[in-house]
This record gives sequence, structure tokens and C-alpha cells, in this order.
Amino acid sequence: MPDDNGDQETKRREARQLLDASSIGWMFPIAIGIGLVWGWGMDRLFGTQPWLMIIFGALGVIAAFINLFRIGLRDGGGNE
Amino acid sequence: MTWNDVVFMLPEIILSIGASLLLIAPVIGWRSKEASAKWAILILLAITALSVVICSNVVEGLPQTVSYSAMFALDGFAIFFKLLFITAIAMIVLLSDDFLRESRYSAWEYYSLLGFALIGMMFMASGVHLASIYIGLELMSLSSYILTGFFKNEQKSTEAAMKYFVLGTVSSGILLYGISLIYGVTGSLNLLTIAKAMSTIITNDALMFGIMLLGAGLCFKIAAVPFHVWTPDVYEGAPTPIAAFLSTASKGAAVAIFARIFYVGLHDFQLDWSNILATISALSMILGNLAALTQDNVKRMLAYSSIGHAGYVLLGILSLNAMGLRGVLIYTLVYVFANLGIWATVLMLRRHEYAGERVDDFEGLHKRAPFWAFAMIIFLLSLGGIPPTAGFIGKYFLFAAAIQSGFGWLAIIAVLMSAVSMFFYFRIVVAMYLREGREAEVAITPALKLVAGVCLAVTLIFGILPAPLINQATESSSWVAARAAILTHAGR
Amino acid sequence: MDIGILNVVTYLPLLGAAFILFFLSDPRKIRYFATMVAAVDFGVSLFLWWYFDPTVGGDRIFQFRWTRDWIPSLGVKYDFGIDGIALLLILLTTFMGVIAIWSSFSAIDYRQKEYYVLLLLLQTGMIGTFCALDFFLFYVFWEVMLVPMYFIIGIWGGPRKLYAAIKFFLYTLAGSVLMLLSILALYFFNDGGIPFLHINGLGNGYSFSMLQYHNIGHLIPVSLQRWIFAGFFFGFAIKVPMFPFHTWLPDAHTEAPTAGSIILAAVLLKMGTYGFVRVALPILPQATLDWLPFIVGLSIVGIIYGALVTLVQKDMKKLIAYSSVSHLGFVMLGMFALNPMGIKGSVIQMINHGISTGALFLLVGIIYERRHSRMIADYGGLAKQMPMYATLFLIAALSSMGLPALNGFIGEFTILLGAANRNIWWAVFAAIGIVLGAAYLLWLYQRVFWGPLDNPANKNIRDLNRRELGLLVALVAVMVWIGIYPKPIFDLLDKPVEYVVQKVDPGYFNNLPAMHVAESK
Repeated sequence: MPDDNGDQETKRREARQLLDASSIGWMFPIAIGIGLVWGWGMDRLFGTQPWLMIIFGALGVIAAFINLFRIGLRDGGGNE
Repeated sequence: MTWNDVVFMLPEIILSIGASLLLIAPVIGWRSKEASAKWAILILLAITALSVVICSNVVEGLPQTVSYSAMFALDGFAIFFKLLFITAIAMIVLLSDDFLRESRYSAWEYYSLLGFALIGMMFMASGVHLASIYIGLELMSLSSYILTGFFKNEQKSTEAAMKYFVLGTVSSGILLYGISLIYGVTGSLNLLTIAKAMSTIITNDALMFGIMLLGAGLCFKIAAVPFHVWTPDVYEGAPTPIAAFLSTASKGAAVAIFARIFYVGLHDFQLDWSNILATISALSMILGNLAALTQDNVKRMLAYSSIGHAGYVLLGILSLNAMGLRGVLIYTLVYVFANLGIWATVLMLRRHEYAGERVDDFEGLHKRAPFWAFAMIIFLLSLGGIPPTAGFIGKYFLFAAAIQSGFGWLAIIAVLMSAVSMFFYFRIVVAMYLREGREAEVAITPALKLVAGVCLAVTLIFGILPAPLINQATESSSWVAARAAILTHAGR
Repeated sequence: MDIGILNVVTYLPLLGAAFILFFLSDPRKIRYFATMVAAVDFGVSLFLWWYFDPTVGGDRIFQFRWTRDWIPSLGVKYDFGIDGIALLLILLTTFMGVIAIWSSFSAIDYRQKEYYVLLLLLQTGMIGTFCALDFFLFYVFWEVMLVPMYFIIGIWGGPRKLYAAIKFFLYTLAGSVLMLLSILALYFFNDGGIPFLHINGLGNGYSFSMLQYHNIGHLIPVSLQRWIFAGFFFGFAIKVPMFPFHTWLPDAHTEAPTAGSIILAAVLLKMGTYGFVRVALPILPQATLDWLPFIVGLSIVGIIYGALVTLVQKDMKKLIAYSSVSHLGFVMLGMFALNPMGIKGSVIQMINHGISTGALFLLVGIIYERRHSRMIADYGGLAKQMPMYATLFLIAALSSMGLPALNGFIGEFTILLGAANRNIWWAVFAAIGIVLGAAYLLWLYQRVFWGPLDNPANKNIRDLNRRELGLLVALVAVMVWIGIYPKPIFDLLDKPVEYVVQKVDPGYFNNLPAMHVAESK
């Protein structure tokens, strides 16, 4: 914000909000990535290419979305 | 860009110009009375509808019905949905009229936003290219975010808009990523080319992943489990006519692109995604209907029930046969009309800007407004799939499609959940007929009456004489069905 | 233009309802008009009986056919036609319709307009179900019956009416939707099959015609037949009601207003059994045989359990409700003997149960209007105070328990014959049921009518008025008539039952003589 609010408090709050919001950014790849890698590993173990990777990948996607909902649907609409 | 290409998009062009004019109308000082805003948009919608019909006739004479760098199709499927969306938006305009008048917000902006959303939806109906589909989707979504937060001074509204925006944009991002992966593997964004490319691929992890992400984004839009969590909060917070818009038109558009993408582009991988979609469908039906049982707020209850309905529509999409596609078209139409009728009744029960919300508000309605109470029964029966309403016809097709494609277990879940859904629908009926109650005011305007009347007529007539609707659906889906190389007899 | 007499008999109540809805508002006028409509409808159905030809057999047993295309692209036809079984049930429906409507005169004193409209709508739904020969049409009418009954129970019912109404609705609906899936499975098998499940179809084109399915039934692979039977089983068993799906019945019956109970017992409960004999038996022969032990077992449990529970009831209406479970167990037993005797007895007993139990509910309703109590303990020695009532009640009770010279005996005897033919043990259990039936009915009668008249509230009860007397005499007359001269009914049932047996057990008519007390299948 170009407007200088001055307050230490406000700056801290805004920084927290920024971190919170960006968490979505790295949360998605990590959640999905973990799912895929786990699935890939289990595929190699059990020889069931590619189903386990698909299933765990899907679970990763779902987990990422659920976390997204958790953040987004907080009272205040993802702001606090 | 030749005249031939313009013909394809003429309705959208007209609508864009019109909606933009609506937006700047009050600024120009051009008839800035709020009342005329309603007429302006209605006339605009009528012109658009007319142009759709005219252009479709013109297009039939052209060498092919897909054009403009093969991004835009004006086949039966597109026309069906375009006209459906125009009608739905027209009815939402009628629903909003009184609502807006009581509030202090600008009707011109509201209607022009609806107009823009409609442009997006019409793009979605016509798109056979992932880029045009995405553009349409985003246009509709952005307009929806703003409309959700339209009541700037109400905290509920702005909060709902914020939530919807944050979640919606991320999902769109995921969807876009999925699209890019598909592009990477198949080398094209055009659905037909993608299909051709996919027929030569046996299995490809990146492609599966892309389809998965695409599916996730789409499931968010139609509010299927487990991507549905935003629905109750957003529907509850949004102004009631916008909740109606979200649950009918917006959902319908998402269904249209879902069907188009999966039938035209991705049909070769059916064995892979059918089962996943079946699971999503089952979960949506079960969770949506069971959660609705516990709701006291009508808007939230309708939100959960719409999650269940998303599950039903998915039956049509995952079965990948002609019956399923017809079912998708019929069910979407039936669902839009029945739902709009219910929302009209909710709007009728008003105390202040957010009313008609609790089931108790319906008490004793049969005395206060007997015709409306009866209409409500018909709408609720239609959503539950009980004959002789049109809802039964829609569900018939979807169940038949599921059985025909071998998903018997899913059909069993679907019918049982239909029965369960009658339970919470009948809670409203119980309140209306079997409890005496409120003397709260009932605000029946001619506009609401018109909407309810049209919806009632459609629901009953197509329930008793469904042949025209069925024939139209069959005709409209023929191009898409042919692309998916489906035999019309004995599904796939 | 040929309107089709079946359309007349089906939609006349609907037209009457519409007329009442839009043009009448005086409760007195509405009552009389409704009764008149029902009476005219009954008259038309008598007409049907007069012109029905009981001697034709084979596929032509379905008479008064009226067929039009409805949804050609799906192969749905609007197909009406009745055979002897349907005719009897329609006569029962129209007759009990008059009784139910006429009996409501003093029972319903608020929102009369909606009440009579709903009753008439219900009539249309029920008659239409019996006339339908196209599965799609059948399903539509089947579902249409649910909503008016729900409202009848829910608006004019007893203290727990809302609970009973929604329980009735959802239970029945759940069964119905499963039935829809079975219908769809048949539909696809008839045409293209279900490739995903490697089931080849017959390629006969899209059709929902029941007659068509009757003909191809035996061609369905047995495993598919079992599944289809399961779907129909749920739909029909809930309506019969068979143990253990009967739990909606006591609540629905006790909470419903008198006329609601009458129609529920007399007609709606016959829908399940009608479904079995019209749909399940002829279309799914091997599955019927496979499921036979299970169904017979449940029927016998229903007979005995129903009777035992009836014995301990303190509420008269609940008592009669549970007795219905027992009686209909009888009906199912007779039907699943799968021989002409058994099935004929089963259909006759369907009619008899309608009349007898309808009469019993009417009687309980009459006393309830006087004293607003259904508890047996509140009564005693009524015979002294209300001799006419007591006499007619006695006749109805005797009819229900199967005393010779009354209708109940004819049905029960025939069922016993048919059941014994297949397996003597079935007849033994059935006989136990009859004995128990006599027990609970006589005990009920004794507690209510004999003994000292010591409850002061009962000392001045009026006996029957003319309207009530008229209703009951009509019912008793039918009971006596069927008991003494059942021949016309047996004649009507000859050919249809033969048709059904032919479909379900084709070798039956070649393996006579009939008295093989044989192995159960």
C-alpha cells in the first residue's frame, strides 16, 4: 500500500495477511506433489502403474482444495 | 475475419455493446431513471435471443457450424444452452427488480453485470476451444464475484463475495494449469484436435494429471463434492436474486462446458476418468442430500440440494452415451426452471433485504398465497424427480444413462438419494400446509408472478407431454454426440 | 372420437376434483358432489363389469384397450387395458371410494374442500395404476398416489400425523425408486442390452409394454432376473406390507383420518400384491422360484407375527392395522403357491380384505367420532347400548376371521387349498394364522361389546344414524354375497390366473393331476 499507515501494528498485520495469502501459492504444489510422489513410489513397489499415482494425486488435489476452503471461508473472507 | 465469422458471434457482439451501454447509461445522463433499466436489459435480452435464432439459421447454410479458427460452434448444443441462459437471466432480472428497488444500489450496473455474465455464459455454451471456454468462464465468474458483493454496505454480502473471489480465482488458476498440461501433451487447445491427438496416446501421466486438474476446477464450479464447501456460505451471503443466479444459470453454464469438454475432447480416456467422476457423483449426491436435511435456512438448504443435483448431472456426463447427453440437457433445463420458481417464492416472503430465509417463514403459506404454495409443491416435486413433473423426465434419462453404461450401483445411490431429498423438500411443504403461522407480509409483484407462472407451466407441461423437450434435446445434442463417436442405440 | 371407457373411469374423479377446486366452496355442496362423483364412477365400473368377457384367454384377456403414443422416441405408450384381476380391484376401488367419501361427512370439519379434492385425486391415481399396461405409465400413476395420501394423513390425521405421513411417504418412495431401476433394466434388456455388463439385449426396440415383457420374461438370464426381482421386491413388499418392511403401516393407519385408513387398507395395500401378480410373477419366472423360499418365509412370519402382535394391542386401530399385516401375509402365501387355486384365492382375499378391513376401520371410526377414544379399555358392554352397531361389527369381524358363509372364508379356504398343494406345512402355518385371527377378533369383540357397561361415558352413546347404517349395510351385503355366491368372481379370475401361471410355471398345466403334495421347489 503506498499509503503509509505508520503503525507497527498495522504493518505486522499486513505482513501476516500477506504470508497467509501466499501460503495458498506454495500449498498447492506441495500437497499435490506429495500425493503424486507417494503414489509413484507405491506404484513402483506394487507394480500397479499408473493407478496408485492417479489416486494419490487426486487425493493431493483434494487436500489442497480443502485447505484452500479452510483459509478462504474463514469469517472475514480470508482476510484474517 | 470475414462476415461469415462475425455471424457466429453476432449475438455476443450485440450483447456486449448493449451491456456496455447499460453500464455507462447513468453517466451519460441518458434516461438515468432506475425503472427504465429493467426494460432496457429485457429488450436487450430479447434482441440477443432473436439474433441467436437468426444467426443459427444463417449458419446452417454455411459449410460448417464450427468457425472462427475453430473456436466457436453454433450447433444445436450451443443454441439450446444460449437460449436457456438468456431466458434464465431474463427471469433473474424480473426477480431482481423489486429487490433492487427497495435497496439503494444502482440498477444499471447490476443489469449490465448480468449482461456481461451472460456473454461469458454464451461463450461457454459455444466454445469448442479451451481458450474460448476459459475466457467465457472467467467473464462469468468475475461478474459473479462482483454481483455477489453487490450490496456493498452489507457485511454478509461483501464477505461472501470475498470468499467466492478468493476460492474462485484459485480454482480457475488450477483449471488453467490443467488446460496448459493438456496443451503440452496434445499440442492444441481445440477440443477436436485434442480428441484426435488423444486417440493415439495410450497412457500419459501428465495428461491424466492435466485432466484431473481440469476436472477439479470444473467440479468447483458446479459445486461437486469435495469442492463444494464454498456453496452454502456464498449462497447464504449473496443477495437472494444473485443466489438464484449462481445456483441456476452459473451452474448450468459450468455443466455445459463440462459436457462439451468431456464429450468432445476427452472421450477417449473415458475408462480413466469415468470411475473418478462416478465417485465424485456418488459423494455429491450423498453428502449434498444428507447435509440438506439438517438445514434450517432455506438458502443453505437449497445450496446443499444443488450440490446433490450436481451429482445427478454428473451421471449424465460420466456415462458417455447419447441418453446421458440428452439427460444433461433436459435435466439442466428442468432444474433451472424449477429452481427459479422456488427462488421466486423465497423472494416473495420478504421482511427486509435478507428474508424468506428460514423454513418457518413459509408457515401457513397455503392460506396467505394458495396458488404459490401449490406452485412450490410442484417445483419441489420436480427437484425430487416425482412424476408427473418435468424433473422426473430429467432424472429418468440420467438414471437410464447410468444403467446403460453399467454404473448400476451409482444408479441405486442416485434413486435412493432422490427419495431422501424429498424429506427436506417436504419440510417446506409441511410448513406451508400443515402449520399455521406467520402473518408476515407477502410481497407479490407482477414480475414474480410471471416468473413463477412460467416456471410452473414449464415444469408441469413438460412433465405430462415431454415429447417436444426430448426431441429437441436429441436434436440439439446430435453434433456433440457424433463427435464423441457414440452410437445412439445401445450406449457405450 | 373414442374416448375409452377406462379413461372415463380413471379421470372422472380428477375432473370432479377440479370442479370442486374451482367452483365450489360450500362444504355441504362439496361433500354431496364428491359422493356423487364417486358413485357415478362406481356406476361406470359396474358398466365395465357388465361388458367384460371372462371367457377369452391368452393375450386377449386385457380388454377395453386404449392405446396412444405418448413419447415415441422412448417407446412410451399411453396404454390402458384391464383383465379380470384389474377389474376386480377397480370395482373395489370405486366402491370403497364411495364408502370412504361418504363416511367423511361428519368426520372432517375443517378444510373440507382440499380434503375431498385430495380423496378424488387419490381415486384417479389408484384406478390409473390398475389400468396401466405400459410400465412408464404404471410408474407415473404409482408415484402420483403418494402425494395425496401424504396430505390426507398429514393435515387431517391424529396427534402424530406429521411423523406418520412422512414415514409413509419416504418408505414407499424408497421402494418405488428401486422399482424404477428394475423397470429400466427390463427396458434395456428388451432392446440393446447393457454392453458394459456384457448383457446382450433382444433388439426388440424401445418399449415399455407390460405385455411385451410378459412374453420375453423367460428369456432374461437368471442372474439379471434376480436383480430385477430385487428391485420390484422392494417396491412391492413395502406396499404389501411384508415383514420386516411393515413398520410404516401401524403409524399411518392409526394417525390417518377414518376415510384415509379405509382407502389405505382397502386399496393402497393391494397395490403391492397387485404388483407381484401383474409384474413380478409373469415376467420373472425363474427369479420367482429362486426367491420363493425367502418370500414364503417372510409371509409366514408376517402371518404369525402379525397375529401375535395384534393380540396385545390396546388401540383398536392399531389392532386392525397389524391384523392387515397378518391377512396380507396370507395373500402373499396364496400367491406364491404358484398354482391357480392359490393365486385365485390370493386375489379374492385381496378383495375380501379390502371390504372386511375397510368395514372394520369404518366401525372404529364411527365409535371414535362418538367418544374420541380408540382404546379398548374405554369400552365394554356396548352391545346393550348400540345393538345395530354391535351386530354389524360382529358380522365384519366374522368376515375378517373367515367364517363360512361370509367372504373371508372363500378366500382363506382357496388359499389353503392352493398352499397345501405345494407344501402341506404352509397350510399348517396358515391355519395357525386363522386360529390366531379368530382369537384376536373375538377377544376384541368380547372386550368392547360384551360384559358390563360400566364406563359412564358410554351410557348414552347413540347408535348408528342412517348414513352410517347405509354404509355398513352396503359393506355387509357384499360380504354376504361373496360368501354365498362367489362364482362370478371365480369366473372372472379363471383366465387371468391361468395366464399368470402359464408365465411363471409353464410346465404346470402339463404336469397335472393337481394333488401332488410335492417337494417344495
